Amino acid sequence: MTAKAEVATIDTDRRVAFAQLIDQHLDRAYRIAGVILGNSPDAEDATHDAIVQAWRSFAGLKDPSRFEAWFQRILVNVCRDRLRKRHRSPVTELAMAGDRTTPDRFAAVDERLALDRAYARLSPEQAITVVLRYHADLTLEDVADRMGVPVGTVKSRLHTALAAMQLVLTGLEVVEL
Amino acid sequence: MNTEQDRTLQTWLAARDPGDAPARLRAVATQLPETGLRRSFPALDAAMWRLRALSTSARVVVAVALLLAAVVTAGAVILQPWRAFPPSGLIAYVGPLASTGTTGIKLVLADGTGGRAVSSSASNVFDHSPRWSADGRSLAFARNSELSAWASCEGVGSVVLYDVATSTERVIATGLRTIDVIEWEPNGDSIAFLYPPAGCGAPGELGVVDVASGALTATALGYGLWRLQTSGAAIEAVDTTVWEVDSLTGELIVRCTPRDGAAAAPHVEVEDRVSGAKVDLGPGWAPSWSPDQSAMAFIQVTDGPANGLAHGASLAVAGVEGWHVRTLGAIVDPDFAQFGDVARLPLVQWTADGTAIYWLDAAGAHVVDVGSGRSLDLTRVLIGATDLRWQPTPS
Repeated sequence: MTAKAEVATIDTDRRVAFAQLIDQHLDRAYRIAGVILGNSPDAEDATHDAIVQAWRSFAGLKDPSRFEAWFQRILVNVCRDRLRKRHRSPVTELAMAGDRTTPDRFAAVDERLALDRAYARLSPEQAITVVLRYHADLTLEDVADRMGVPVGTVKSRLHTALAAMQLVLTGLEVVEL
Repeated sequence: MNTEQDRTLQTWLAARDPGDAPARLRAVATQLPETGLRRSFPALDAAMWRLRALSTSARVVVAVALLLAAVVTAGAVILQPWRAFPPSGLIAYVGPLASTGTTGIKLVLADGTGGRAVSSSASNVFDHSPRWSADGRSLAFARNSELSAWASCEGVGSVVLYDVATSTERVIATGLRTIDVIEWEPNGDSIAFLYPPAGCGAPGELGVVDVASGALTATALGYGLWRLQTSGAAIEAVDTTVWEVDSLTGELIVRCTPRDGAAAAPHVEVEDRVSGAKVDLGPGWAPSWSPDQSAMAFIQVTDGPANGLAHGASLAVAGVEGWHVRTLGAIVDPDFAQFGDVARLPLVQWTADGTAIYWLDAAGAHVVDVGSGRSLDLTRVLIGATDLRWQPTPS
């Protein structure tokens, strides 16, 4: 086999391998992006960008068994960039009316809306940390790995984020973080 | 947060979960652009991809193999075993002719095989100054005959061309005064020669004979000690007390002028004629350009005390890039060691391909590979030899 043919074969092999790996991990990645970004179109765009970026860097992946973690790091970076853009053009929050401590049939809706608002006020890093820890169910070490920060930073971000969200869940006004 | 609130948060997060990825997103991975591939070094890229697929133990084996290959490559670059050493080609020299007890020109390979005499054993005929043509096919030399036992300058000088392939000779010019030394002109069309030999007490002359026609021109030089050397595009006679060698371009000139004081060695100095910059290569003598003009060989000398035996001499090479001086081997000359007279030192010669330098000193004949520093003692092959000349690889 000539060198050119071998390279072509390897290119094909690599493309197939990449497609298989993406297929294995796509749903989980898309769902994480969806939770972080809060809507399907943004999740789809972010995941698409992450796939393209991953393909461009695929030759640099040293250990294929680490694909999921590697791909999630790329995805997290894409999501963080999108959240930062949102923060640069913030949506004006409407003040919540009524007593949130009063249990009624709208209490669940109130709670969800409050959490939406509290989450929107988190920094991109805090928001992603919360999602990776409480939705993706990653360990603190894995969260640190995905975000490229020390475990201590993850703990700190979680603490700050949850404190802010706890205020909402206990019926207090959301404070500026 | 307490457990209840954790559950609330997890429930809220789960409500944001969009579910499995849509099919169009799944298709993205199968429609990736070719430009996504890194193609700077495709072969290396492919090799790395193959390597990643190997097990850990296989990777260790590959790593060890690569390390060994690197060591072997580094050794090969330094030692260059593929380079023929000593260089192929015949060595022409002046040596004793067994049948007559006189000297004449002989040929031999560096391994001692292929020996033959170029000169006949005719009485009162002395061939000397063997000089190869640039293509290595012909050997020019000087022939002094009919010498007088009473007057050293009397006799007949000739310039002879010897065809190596056919072992035949052709006399280009004869009836001259006895010849001291000859050299090919750089154009390869003519041969220059000095006559008469030093010590005759007669004024010197520079002769040039056209190889094809035998036409002869002569220039009077006057009294003195003369030496032939390449200067630009021609051979010219120079005073032996000054060693001055031009590069082919004429931009660099190397000088070596004896200094005041019996024990003070001259310095080899390189001057850039364009910029006027000078580089002092230290005490030395007999500088010689490599054939491609990329390096300068000379005899590096160390001054000893005026009354001691501590003068040292060694072969040194300095590259044009940076003029870093590298010593390649000692040159043995007891007279020089004792008296420090550089005029006693031998000449060093480059082989035509520039890969080796050879010389003849009191310890015998030597050749050294310039790249690796490997050396070979040729003394047993060249017993009693003088005036060595290595044949250029025949083209």
